[in-house]
Amino acid sequence: MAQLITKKDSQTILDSFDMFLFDLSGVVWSGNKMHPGAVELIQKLQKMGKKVLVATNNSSETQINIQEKLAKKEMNFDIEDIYCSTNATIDYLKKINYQDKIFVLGQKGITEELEKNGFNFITAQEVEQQNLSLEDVDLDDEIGCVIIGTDQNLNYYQIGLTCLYLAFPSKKGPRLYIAPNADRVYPVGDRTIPGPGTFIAACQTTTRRYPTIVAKPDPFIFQLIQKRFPDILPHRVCIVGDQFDTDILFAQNSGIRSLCVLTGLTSESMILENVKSGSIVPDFYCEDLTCLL
Amino acid sequence: MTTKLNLDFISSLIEKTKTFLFDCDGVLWLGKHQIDGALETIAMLQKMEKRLFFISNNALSRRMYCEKMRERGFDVSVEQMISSGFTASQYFKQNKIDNILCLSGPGVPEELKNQGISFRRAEEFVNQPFDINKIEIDPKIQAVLLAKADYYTYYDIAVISLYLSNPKVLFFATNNDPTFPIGSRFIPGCGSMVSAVEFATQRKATILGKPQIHGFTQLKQRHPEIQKEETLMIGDRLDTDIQFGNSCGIQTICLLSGVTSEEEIIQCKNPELIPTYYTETIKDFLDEKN
Repeated sequence: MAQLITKKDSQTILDSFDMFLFDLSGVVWSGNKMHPGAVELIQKLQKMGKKVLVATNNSSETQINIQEKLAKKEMNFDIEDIYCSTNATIDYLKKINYQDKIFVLGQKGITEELEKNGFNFITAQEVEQQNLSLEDVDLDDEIGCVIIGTDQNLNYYQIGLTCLYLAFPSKKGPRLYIAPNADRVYPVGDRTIPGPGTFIAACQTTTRRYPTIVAKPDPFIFQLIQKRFPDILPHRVCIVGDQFDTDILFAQNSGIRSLCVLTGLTSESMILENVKSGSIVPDFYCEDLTCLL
Repeated sequence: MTTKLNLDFISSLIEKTKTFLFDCDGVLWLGKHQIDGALETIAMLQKMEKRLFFISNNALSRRMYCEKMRERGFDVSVEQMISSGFTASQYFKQNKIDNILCLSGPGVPEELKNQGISFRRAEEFVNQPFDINKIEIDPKIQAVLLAKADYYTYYDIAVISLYLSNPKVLFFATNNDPTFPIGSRFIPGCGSMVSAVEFATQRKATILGKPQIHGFTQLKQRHPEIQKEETLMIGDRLDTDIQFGNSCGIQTICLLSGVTSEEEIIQCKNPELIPTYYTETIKDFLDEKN
């Protein structure tokens, strides 16, 4: 547990796994900043015939956006090999056979996918344009589900509206509450910006409700992967990530193994502290991905 | 243990009490609707020459709050108002914190200005297109203050969180109320925004309004004649008004005209939240003889 990996371990590690899942933020890049060794490692693993997939939590992007961004940096992926929280949310809605109208706090990413898949939805921003106060705005009884996503355009009114939909049931009963992901922050360059977890916390204080999370750390995405690759052995799958409460917890929940890279939100001292206290730790960790080249 | 007030006892309680602290929403009015007997009760207490103060977690300035009350027909003055924005500003002055970054409505800046405290607003740092890495931190800022804002954006939260990533920058909020009642609904209170920032930064805010006692401590400094034993706090919320009064060491009355039910009071196990007394509404204070 929490074994530090250096160059001398690289062959052993690579031989131990048939499939690698890559988180992007904090592992491959942080905003415009590229992390050392990531591109080369992905290319190397693909050449070696390993199955390389992307598993990212960002819900403001679609598979196509992500594929394009990766290709621009010389990493080539088929669309189906990119698992992002927006597409996983669609898979989840289909799995529970959800047919009614949806209220979305969010834009881009999630709304594009909802549209593409024929879901009936309205966004908080659209309702805001009706210019009605939170006291007077009508709550649409057709809405049976609230999705809270990433949205840099959100504001107090939209959060207030989301809380109204969560706190006051429709005639059919309380509305479903789903979030593609609940990341606390996203690393951008050397700083961080608030993730959707921040606004989930805001709504939780007011309504006492917490959503069903579709992406990491929920194992739903690994269940989708296993359906596609029924012969894969979980202990021969490794997630390459940078956060305890998404990537590493996802590994534990899915029964796969984890490599934590120190180029994102987690430091070595955080890992060592967790070892001491018996809290969650990755199977392996490394300074950066050049150690596996 | 709490006691339901009977009307005879109320008269003698009023007799002994020299200073009354009133919460307003849920006590004197409920949203737009004035509570029956509120105006008469305040007028009666003023005639009896009692000291009256109105203590609210609202982040309006004292001047704005006084105007609101006068519009409703209460004959009050600015000095009788204790708003959380005023309490925060006094706290900063006394603790020599004189450069603040605030995310609030207009009431807080007015109070900060009155105390001569320099401040900047989170929105001043929001660049377009938004780029967190290009924001220049003002090194003079010593503390962040959150108060209920009728309008805040994702970017404001990002800026506030950025400043708080420096552990030397102090973290304050006027109050932590999770909801704010409007009509038959409720909307996020300041506590909602506080939770968002606490989660993003993994830091805890120091709350300056109720249930913290700063408002009362400052009041006694302005009015040294006020004695705890002769002071009464009247409110409608256990975890702000009543906890505040209990923490100040003064007797508390919880009214059932606001957010709290009789059942909640009776079932309450937390001694910090149990009111000394409770009764239906402020109208119960009116002696039929008056």
